[in-house]
Amino acid sequence: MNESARQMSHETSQHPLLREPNGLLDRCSTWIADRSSPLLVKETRGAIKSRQFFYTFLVLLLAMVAWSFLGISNSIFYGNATSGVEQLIGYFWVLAFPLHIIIPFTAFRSLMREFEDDTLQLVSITSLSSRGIIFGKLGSAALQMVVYLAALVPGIAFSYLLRGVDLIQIFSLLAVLIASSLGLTTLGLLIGSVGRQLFLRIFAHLVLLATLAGSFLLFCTFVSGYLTFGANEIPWEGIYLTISLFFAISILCLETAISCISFYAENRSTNVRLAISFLTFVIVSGVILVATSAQASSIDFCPTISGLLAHLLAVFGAMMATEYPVISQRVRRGIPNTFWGESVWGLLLPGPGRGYLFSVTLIWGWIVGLNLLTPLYDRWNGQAMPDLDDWLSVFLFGVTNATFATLYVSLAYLFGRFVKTKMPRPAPIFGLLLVIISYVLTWVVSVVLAIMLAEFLGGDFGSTRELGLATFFCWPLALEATFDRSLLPMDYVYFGFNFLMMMVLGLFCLISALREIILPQAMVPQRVLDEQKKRKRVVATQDEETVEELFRNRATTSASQHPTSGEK
Amino acid sequence: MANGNGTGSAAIEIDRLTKWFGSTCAVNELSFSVRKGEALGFIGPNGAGKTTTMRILATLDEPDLGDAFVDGFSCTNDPDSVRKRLGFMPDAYGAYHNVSCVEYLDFFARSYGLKGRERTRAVNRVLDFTHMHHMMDKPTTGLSKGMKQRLCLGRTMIHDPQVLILDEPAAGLDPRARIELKEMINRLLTEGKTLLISSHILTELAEMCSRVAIIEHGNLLAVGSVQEILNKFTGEMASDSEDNLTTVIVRFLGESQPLFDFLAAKELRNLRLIGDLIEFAIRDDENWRADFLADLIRNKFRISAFATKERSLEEAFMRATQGRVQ
Repeated sequence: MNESARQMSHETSQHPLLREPNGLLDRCSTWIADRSSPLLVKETRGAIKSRQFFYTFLVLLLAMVAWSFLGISNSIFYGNATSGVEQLIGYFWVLAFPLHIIIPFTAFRSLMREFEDDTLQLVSITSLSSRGIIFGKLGSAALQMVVYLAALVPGIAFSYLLRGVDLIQIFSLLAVLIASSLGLTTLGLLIGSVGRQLFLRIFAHLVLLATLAGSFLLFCTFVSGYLTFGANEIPWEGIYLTISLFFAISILCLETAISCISFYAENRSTNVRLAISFLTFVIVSGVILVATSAQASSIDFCPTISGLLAHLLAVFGAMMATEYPVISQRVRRGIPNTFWGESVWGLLLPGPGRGYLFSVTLIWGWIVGLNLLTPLYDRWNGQAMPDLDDWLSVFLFGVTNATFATLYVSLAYLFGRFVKTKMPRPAPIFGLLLVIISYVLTWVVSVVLAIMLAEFLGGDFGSTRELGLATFFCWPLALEATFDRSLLPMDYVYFGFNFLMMMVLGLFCLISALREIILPQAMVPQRVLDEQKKRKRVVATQDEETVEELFRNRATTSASQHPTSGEK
Repeated sequence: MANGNGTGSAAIEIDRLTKWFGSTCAVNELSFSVRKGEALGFIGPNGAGKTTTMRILATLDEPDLGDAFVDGFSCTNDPDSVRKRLGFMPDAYGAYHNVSCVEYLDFFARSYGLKGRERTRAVNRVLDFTHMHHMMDKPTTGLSKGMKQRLCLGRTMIHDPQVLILDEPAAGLDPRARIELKEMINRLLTEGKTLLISSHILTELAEMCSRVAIIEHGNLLAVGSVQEILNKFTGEMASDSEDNLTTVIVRFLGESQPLFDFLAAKELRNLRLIGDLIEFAIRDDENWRADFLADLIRNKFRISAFATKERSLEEAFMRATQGRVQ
C-alpha cells in the first residue's frame, strides 16, 4: 500500500460512520441504530440536513416565541390577564401545522420520490421488506414529531403555569394530535404508494393537500372548542369509537400501502383482508356500544349497521374480487392441505376467487349473524324482546342489503374476469374504474328491474314509495324497517326477486371461484427450507455486538476507569 | 430441475422466460445459462429485451411464463434467497437527496442486514475497491457520471454477492472512466464473481466477457464464446476443409482489371473492388496467406499493402441483428 492510499484508509477509519463506537452513549446509539429500520436512519440523517426541516423548525420556534411574547405583553402592558387556555390554543395551532400538514406531506413525498428517482427498486431488491420500507417512513415521521414536540414543550409548560388548563387536557390533546398526525401520515403513505402515473401523482398531491388542510382546520377548531367549552359533553363511547375507528383505518391504510409496493409473487392480500375484518369489527362494536349506552333497542340500530356494512363490504369486496388472477407458486406453497384450513385460512389467500368468497362470507356472516342475534342482545341489555313482525322487517332489510352487496361483488368479479381476458395486467386505475362501473351498473339494473317488476304487478309510481324505489331498491324496505315496520306483499316480491337474481349470479361466480380454490398446495424446495431454517437460527451475526456484550463491555470500561479500592 | 428449482450448477439459469407488455412481447421463450465465475456479455439493439430479462433476474419484474434462477433459487418464488446472492446495477442511478456517498453505502449495507463491524468492513471494502475515499462526504446528487457509476458499482457489491448483473455500466462514461470500470470488472472476475453485463460498447465487452448472448425482439439469436459468435456471424467455412475463412484487403498500384481477373480465376469468395483496394476471403491460415502473396508477386502484380481484416463483435452484431425496435 502506498503512502497516499494508507493516508486515505486512515482518514476513512476516522470517519464518524466507520470508526469504532467510542464510549457508552456512542455504543448504545450504534446498537439502537443497528436494530432500527435502515430507512429510519437514512431519512433522519437526510431530514436533519434538509432545508425543509431547518425552515419548518425555525418558523415553529419563531411562531412559538412570538406567541409567547404576545401573551406576556398583553398581560404586562395592557393589563389583560392572559389565561393558559388562550396561550395553549395558540401553541396547538402552531404545532398542528407541521404535525398535520408538513410531516404527512413529507412522508408522502418521500415515498413518491422513491418512485420518481427509481430508488424504490434499489431498496426493494435488498433484504428490506415492503413492511420495513413503509414502517421506516412512518418511524421517520414519528421521530420528526418528537423533535417538533420537544421544541413546543417550553410553550406548553408556560401555558400550564398561566393556569386555566389542567394536565389531563394537555395530555389528551397531545395524544389526539400525535395520533391524528400518525393517521394522516399513513394516509399520505397509502396515497404515495398508489400514484405512479403522472396524472395520478398530480391528483394525489391535490387530494392529500386538501385532506391535510381540512384536517388541520378541523383539529384547530376542535382544540378551540375543547379548551373553551370543556370536554364534559364528549361521551367515552364516542372517544372509544373515534380512537378505534381511527386506529383500524390507519392499519388498513398501512397494510394497503405495504401491499401496493410488494413484489408481485408475494402474498399481498392476507393482511389487507385481516385489516378489513378488524375495521368491520370496530364499526360493529362501536355502533353496539353507542346503542347500549343510549339504551336503544336492537331493531333501532340494526338497519343502520346492515346498510353501513353492506356498502362498506361491497366496495371492499369488489376490490378483492378483481385482484390479479394469477396465483404464484410462492403463494401456492401457503395453501392449507386440510378442509378446515382451506375454509378459514384459504379465504385469506390472494386471488379474485378467494377474494370473492371471502367478501361474500364476510357480508353474509356479519349482516345475517347480527340480525339473527339481535333478540339475544335485547335480553342482555335488559330490553323487551322485539315483536316478530318488527324483527322480520328488520331482518329482511338486512338480507336485502346483503343481497345487494353480493350482487355488486358478483358483478365486479365477473367484469374482472372478463377484463383480465382482454388485458393481462391492467393498470390499478382500471381496477378502480371497474369497481365504480360495477356499482353504478348494479344500482341501475336493480332499480330498473324493480320498477319493471312493480309495473308488472301494477304498482303506483306517484307515491313516495315508488319514488324511493326508483332511486334505490333498498330504500322502501329501509323506510319500513326504520319507521313503519309493516311489510307489504310487494316487499316480499322485491326481496324474492333480488334474492333469486343474487343466487343465480352467485352460483355462477362460485363455480368460477372454485376452480381457484381447488388448486393444490405447491411443495417448498428443500434448499429453500434449509435456507429458512438457517435464517431463523441466526440471531446475531458473528461480528455483531449483542446486548449482553454491550453491557459486559460497559462494565469492563467502567472497571478500568474506576479501579476498586482493593486494587488500590 | 433439482428440488423443483434451478439445476444449481449454473450461477444464472434462464428457462423459457417470456414477458409481455400489453401486446408487445418483450422476451420470448429465452433460455440460456451463465456458469459460475464466468462473464457473459448480453447484447442486443435497444428494445431487444435485455433490461426486461435483467429486471426479472433482479426480482424486480415477474415473467409471464418460464422462470429465471440464480444459484438454483427461483427469481419468482424465492426472491429473498436470490436477493442475497445477487447484486443488480440498473441503468438508472437512483440517488437520494441530502445523503453523502458514505451514508449512501452505509444505508444499503444496513438494508442488506449488515450490522456493526460487519457493516463497517463492507463499506470500507467497497470504498477501497472503487477508490472513493476522497469523495466519501460528497452528496450523491452532485457527482460526475464516472463517479456515479463507481458508487453504483459499490452499492451493487456492498453485500458481497456472488452474481452481479450490470445493465449498461459503461454508458456515458469518458475513456478514462471506461478503462477504470473495465479494470474493476476484471478484478471482480478474478475474485470469482459471475457477471452478466449488457453494453453497447462491444469492443470492451469482447475483452471482458468470455461468452456473449445476442438477443433481438426478445428472441435469443446466439449464445457462445466470442470466437464462436465471430465465426458464426462474420466467418465462413472453406468449402474444401474445416478451416475458417478470413477477409484479406490488398492495395495495388497500376491497372485493377488484370489483378481482379487473376483473383476471379482462383474462385475466391466475396471478391470485390473498392477504389484501389480489392477485398476477398481466403483460408484463415498463415502459410496459405504467405503462399498466396508470393503467388501475386510472382505474377508481377505491384502490391503496396496486404492485410487481413480483423473480425469484430460489432460486425457480428450488425450481421446478427436487423436493428428493428419493437
